[in-house]
Amino acid sequence: VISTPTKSPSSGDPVIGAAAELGIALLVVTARILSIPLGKAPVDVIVILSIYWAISVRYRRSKSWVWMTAGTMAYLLLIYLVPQCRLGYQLLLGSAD
Amino acid sequence: MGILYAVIANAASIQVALLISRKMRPGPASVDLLTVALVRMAFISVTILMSGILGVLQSHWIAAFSALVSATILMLDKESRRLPKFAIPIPRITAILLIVVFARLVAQAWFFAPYDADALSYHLPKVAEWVRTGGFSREMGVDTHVTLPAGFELIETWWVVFFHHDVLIELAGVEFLVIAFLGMLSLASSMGLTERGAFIAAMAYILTPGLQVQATSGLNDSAVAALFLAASALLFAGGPVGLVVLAVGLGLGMKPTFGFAFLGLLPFAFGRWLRDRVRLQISWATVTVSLAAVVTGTFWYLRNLLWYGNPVHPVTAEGLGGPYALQGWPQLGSLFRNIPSLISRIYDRTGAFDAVLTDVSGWGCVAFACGLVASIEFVRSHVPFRWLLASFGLALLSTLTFVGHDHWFTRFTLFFPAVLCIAAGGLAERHFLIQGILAIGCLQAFLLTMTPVHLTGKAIQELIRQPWRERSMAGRYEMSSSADVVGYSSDIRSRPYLLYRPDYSCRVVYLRSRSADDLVEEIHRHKLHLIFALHQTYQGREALQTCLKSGHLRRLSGHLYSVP
Repeated sequence: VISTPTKSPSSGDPVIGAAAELGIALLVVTARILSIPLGKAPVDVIVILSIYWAISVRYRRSKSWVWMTAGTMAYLLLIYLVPQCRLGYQLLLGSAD
Repeated sequence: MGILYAVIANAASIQVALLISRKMRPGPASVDLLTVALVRMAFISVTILMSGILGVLQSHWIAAFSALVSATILMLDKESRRLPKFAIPIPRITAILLIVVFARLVAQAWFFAPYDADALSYHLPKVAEWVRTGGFSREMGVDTHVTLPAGFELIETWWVVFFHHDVLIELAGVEFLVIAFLGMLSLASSMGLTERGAFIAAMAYILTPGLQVQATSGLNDSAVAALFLAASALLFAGGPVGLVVLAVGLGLGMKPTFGFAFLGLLPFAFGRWLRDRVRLQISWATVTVSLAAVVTGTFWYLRNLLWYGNPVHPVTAEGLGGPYALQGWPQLGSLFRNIPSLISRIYDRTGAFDAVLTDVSGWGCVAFACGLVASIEFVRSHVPFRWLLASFGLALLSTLTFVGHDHWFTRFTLFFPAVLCIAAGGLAERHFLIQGILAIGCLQAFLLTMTPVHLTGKAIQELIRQPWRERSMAGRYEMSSSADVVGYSSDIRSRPYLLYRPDYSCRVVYLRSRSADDLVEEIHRHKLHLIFALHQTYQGREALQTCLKSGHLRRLSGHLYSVP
């Protein structure tokens, strides 16, 4: 059976992981707004995943791990969903027929 | 009578599958069910193959053979008279979701008519010719790809031959989605996921947009992905070698791309063989499934070798040129072009999903958002997952090396999201928050694959409005006619399948002449009164113009011409 980190004893500040991840997300979004390569696909995902990897090594056994993981997933979900929803809306209107 | 024949034949296929599954005793319930689904596919493939070769590809012959098989099993095997039991406790919510997903697939199969250009140009014309002539015919159409392996077309033929109508033809693809689901259940269980986690992973995978759109398109790439998963599941679960061979045979009979991916699994398979010192248990069940694997896996290559002197005709070592190019040999250059392209397409933002996944990966939101992050965690914490990821990674690299770089190569990689969905399912089973994100991803995939891009707007409305007996895309492409015979002359993919009509009541004569004189002679030789002509090359267009000027042809509508 797979052991996931939440079962492990807590050590470290639960807020730090989530705050760090939020910081990275903001950094990437800012980079995208300013058209810096860091915010462009696929660099943004590579950066996000690399930093998640690095941070989750340190905070794997903390309570913030789930929040950090869910935060990273939610961020990726957003950058996937927004253009898709726009496209879906166009299809719904029939303009992409 | 067609419905009765279909019931008899399908009952026999399930009976054979249950019998062999029981004799082979492959393992846990999910592997048992996977075995049943695979053996049923093998029974269908071999039955259609043999009927086609013997020229008895007709519903009554297939039903008679199936009834004979059923009766023999019932007489010789007492256990077959009892209803089988499979102990898979499906969580209630998952069961409801499964019903919703498969009900939608069945509705799509009912309301969609074959629409994809590739399917209409070189996959389905074969099915139409076989069903019309009651056997395998040398005439398969004029497309360059008609001679490629047609294992998937065998299953499509099964869904067509009893009704002599194509209204249920898309169910062939849906069947393979069931195999993909069962393969995922088994594979996820082998990775240590609980039943709940395995169901989440399997559910997330079959909602992968690429798979969903492909399943009802008449194309075979989702079937290849499903068989690859089945082979992987059997290997990782330590299933009987005969069954692994069966999955490989069925896969190779579908498309060579299965072989490209399977190369990635070979190191693991070899390692397992060395570690466990697997012994072949020779039984009649093993021999039967192995024979079925050999027949289905080699038939098309042997036929091409006999007819054209090349097992993969028309592809040579140099590949196949022209507008629909195919690579003939693995090339590192392709790998280096395909990898960055795949990474950029993983966002699926270039366009809506179509059956051939033009410029998108079709991997979907769950694999992208949840799978990538979850894989990082799983790679760290779980050794079997490392093996799985390495094997699938190798399979992905192998596939990307073998296939050329074009707008559609990502459809050959539809097996890879499975490994990402397993990781996502593994985390979601423990954490409610992650479950919520995964559910949003699944919902998005479900909503965006209601109709593929080619069937949005007016197209789907037109299809729904048509009576099921006449449901076809022919009207949309101005290919409708009431003629009994239509000539077809084209040097590009022009969807000749639409000319056959849904009940295959029209005969299509493929015209291969390229000069005006030869074309006129061919038209008169076949006593044609109506032809469909669409040419892209200068020579073809010139011949058509000459025929029009000389009064041998008269334009009707679109690309239909009458012969005065």
